[in-house]
Amino acid sequence: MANKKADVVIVGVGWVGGIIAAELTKAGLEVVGLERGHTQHRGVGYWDDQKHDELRYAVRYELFQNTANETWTLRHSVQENALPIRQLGSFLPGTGLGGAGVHWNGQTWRFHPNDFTKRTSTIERYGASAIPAGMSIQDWGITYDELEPYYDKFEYMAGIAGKAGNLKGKQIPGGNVFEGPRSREFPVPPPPDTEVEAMFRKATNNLGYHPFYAPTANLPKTYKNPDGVERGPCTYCGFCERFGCEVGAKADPTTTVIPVAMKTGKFKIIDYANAFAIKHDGKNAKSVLYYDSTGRVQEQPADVIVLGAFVFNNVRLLLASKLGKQYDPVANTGAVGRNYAYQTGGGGATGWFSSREFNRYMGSGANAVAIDDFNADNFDHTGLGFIGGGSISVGQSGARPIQSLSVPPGVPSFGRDWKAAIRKFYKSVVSVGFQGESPSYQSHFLDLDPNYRDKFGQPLLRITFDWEPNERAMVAFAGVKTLQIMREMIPGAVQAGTGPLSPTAPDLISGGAGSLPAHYDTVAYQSTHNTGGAIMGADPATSVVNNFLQMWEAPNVFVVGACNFPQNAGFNPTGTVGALSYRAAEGILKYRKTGGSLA
Amino acid sequence: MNAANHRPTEPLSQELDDYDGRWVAVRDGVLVSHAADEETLRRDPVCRDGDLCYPIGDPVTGFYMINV
Repeated sequence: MANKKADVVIVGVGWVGGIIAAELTKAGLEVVGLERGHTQHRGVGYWDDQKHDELRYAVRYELFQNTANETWTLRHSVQENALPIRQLGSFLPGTGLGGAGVHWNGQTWRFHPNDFTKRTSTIERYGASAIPAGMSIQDWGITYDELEPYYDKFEYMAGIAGKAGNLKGKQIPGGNVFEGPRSREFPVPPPPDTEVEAMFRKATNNLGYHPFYAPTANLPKTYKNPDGVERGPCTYCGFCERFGCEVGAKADPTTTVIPVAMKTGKFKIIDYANAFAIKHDGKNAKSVLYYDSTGRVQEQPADVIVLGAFVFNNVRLLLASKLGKQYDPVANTGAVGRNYAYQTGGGGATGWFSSREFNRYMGSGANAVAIDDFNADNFDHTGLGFIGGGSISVGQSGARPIQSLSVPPGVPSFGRDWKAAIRKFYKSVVSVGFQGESPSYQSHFLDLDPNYRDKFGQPLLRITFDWEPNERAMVAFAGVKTLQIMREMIPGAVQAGTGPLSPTAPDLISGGAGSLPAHYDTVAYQSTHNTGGAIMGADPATSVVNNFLQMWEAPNVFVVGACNFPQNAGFNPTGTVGALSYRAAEGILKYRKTGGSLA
Repeated sequence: MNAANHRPTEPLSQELDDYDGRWVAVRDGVLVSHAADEETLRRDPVCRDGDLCYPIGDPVTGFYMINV
């Protein structure tokens, strides 16, 4: 027997599900949330007895998807047979109430105006030939100016700290002068620079770049948001990424939007609910089918269905339900699964100081100073041979005792010399990081694997992805820039790995033209910024949802998240995911009044 | 192995695993030359202006966004 029909059912209760639940329940709708994990952390204090357990959370992945139950398969091209990813590594999708919003770092960016018009802007400036063959970058079907009010809403809900670099079109020195116009200042001012951040700021200023404090969801001071939710300041413990915040300073769905939805009495969360199909008649969806905690199939009917799970789960549900037209990479038709993209690293530089210490063990996940001079189209790409770029930053996010032990190249990875190097450099290492764009390609996509299934017998999602020449050239370029900055930060340093370490060793430096492995590999952690597969756009032939995140084929289905990105920018995605969530909530309320397509 | 000692008549492998730790030059999606470092690669007469040149292999440093 089916559950009682709800006005809206949401699959996945992270940032997307939490924001939409809060907005809809405040408007009086009855909402059910299906969460595949357990209900965790509904208030500050939940983590008190288990905080700072690096082995449990960061190494053994307690907050993340269990690949013994459900995983993905990977291949680099359609010529290969995909194999299952048996252990987490490259990316870490969350599970449990709050999803990845519990274990994120808190970096909260807005994409640039020309990120939203990527294809058009690239052609206008460089000509169509600048887009490599097979690259399938698209415009989003929404402009920055249209999305700005929703960015603003997310930032004020979450209490984002930062300094504007563009207020209503007026550039503000000290902020990110490359950002799109903001309608008002950040709700919270940024914290002061740490010592390494001050060094980075000075070095990049010397080089003529434009440093600014990276927007952060780790509160530097107490903040009460427009919903009346008050959170206290960060203690800079350095346990953000892969952990829940025990003091509630990091904005998290479980301490912001979910309590607001719960307070209305109109939000019901069903945990251990693994959604596996959407029942529909080809035009409208009727209900979501899920396995409950005992493995029995249950049905949740609703007038409106929202897919708010992680990228892969949203796309998998659409494919498994045969909702929308599946992407065919050979014919280049269909949209579900199209334009899978990721995030490109590999262009960083590192310095090891011989006689300076920085108290690296203190920090917060998004504590960073950045430059945007080499991101997006903020610099002239003429003659460079690639399009796109990325953000460059120095952060102080903490230095946990197991996974933050960096030694210069040439030091053995175990034994006496390794221990000596750890003692010498634990508090003295600084990295300049690069976070690059990931354009979309016709050959990068998601579909259902024909061979492998999850614990319920449902097909796994198959990822077809590899690094492409454009990104390799971009990363090579970025590495030269980060090394230039590092040299300015640590003048006189010698190239690491060129001689034995000694107590009198000089400052060391490592970097240069950045590189990517011969093929994308899932073993080492890289980024959880997977995007695409249910992209937004203005054309139903090449997108799954319109600019209210409403499905073209089924107007009572809204698919929301980083799966909507037609390609990925050189920034963390959460700010844009939050903005799209508010946009979708508005669309759902509009749909409830008018029905039909909102586009 | 470097660009100078492969025979011009011998087709170059297009499998990037074969060039781990080296620089490659790519033209219209086809790998046309390789060398131990960028300088040597760009000196190779086969390599033209406009070819995409980049190293293959694990990054020297800094693959993580913030944490080292």
